[in-house]
Amino acid sequence: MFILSDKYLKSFYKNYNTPEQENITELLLEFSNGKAIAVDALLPIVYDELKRLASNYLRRERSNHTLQPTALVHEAYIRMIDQTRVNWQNRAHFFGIAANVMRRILVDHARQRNAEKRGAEFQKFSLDENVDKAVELSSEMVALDDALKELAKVDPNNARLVELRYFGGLTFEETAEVMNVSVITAKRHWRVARAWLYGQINQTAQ
Amino acid sequence: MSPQNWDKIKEIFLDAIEIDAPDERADFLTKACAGDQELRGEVEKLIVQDKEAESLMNQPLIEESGIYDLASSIDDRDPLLGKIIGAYRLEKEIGRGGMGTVYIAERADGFFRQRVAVKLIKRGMDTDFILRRFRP
Repeated sequence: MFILSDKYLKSFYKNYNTPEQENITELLLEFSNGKAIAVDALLPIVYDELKRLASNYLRRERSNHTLQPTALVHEAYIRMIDQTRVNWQNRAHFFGIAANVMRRILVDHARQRNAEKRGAEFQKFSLDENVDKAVELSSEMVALDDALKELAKVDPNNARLVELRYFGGLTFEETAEVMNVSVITAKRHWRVARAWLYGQINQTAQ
Repeated sequence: MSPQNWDKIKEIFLDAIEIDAPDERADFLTKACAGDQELRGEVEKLIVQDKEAESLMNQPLIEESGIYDLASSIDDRDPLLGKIIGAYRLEKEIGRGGMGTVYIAERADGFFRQRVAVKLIKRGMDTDFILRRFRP
């Protein structure tokens, strides 16, 4: 009996287009061509892949102290999409989806951690600076997510821009590409959004 | 705030922050807001916030203290936990080997309480030869 391990199969297929990759590419093309329903099929696939990549990435890069969403989003894109069949607009659409998924993964995680720490009244007795810092960061992320939901009511485009740039880790150039605006416009609107969000976060905190 | 007002606030704000000299900026605001005190108030609020907001969203998303936590929460979440198999819900992994994984499982059909160990055979190992060993 001879059984190939999953790991071997994956490295073997890495340089070939798998049927799964063909499917995902097809879905992305449909979505880009205005078939909105394709995004329902794409979201869970992108979600699983990004989560898996985040886990691998963090294991591999223990010495690197930051998790860069942009690295994950780009890697997911290269692994999931057949590059020969897509143009830059399709790429932009994929990044748009991935940024939204990153936001969900990170904010869900932060909310969960907040709830755990609150439940145990952890902060009061904590002597560990790192834990305090982690709690602080996850609270900030949750506050930002809440403020961003409010911004989406007033100015959905601006909220989307923040999602792409902050949660997706896209550059201004990439963000402008996804939003179909000039780089200068993207930069100006980022500044408006940032000022507004700052006010919203502090108003809620008081 | 109506969308029209918001567009106006944005527009004036973006022009105003390009002007550095306080006097000039005040003059510009007087002109641009044309006596609309509420509009001017909103724009001025945004200008103050803009100064303070420079550090917002400036950091990498997750710093050292956060990443191990995120990694472990992803690693630990076995997608099978909580799943119901037959009458039993998988509660916790208690062992793992070449053939598969063993879980503690709780009876979930409500008839009675019972804890059992459930062994799940790894995909690829579910040959007749191996499965036969688990049949009564």
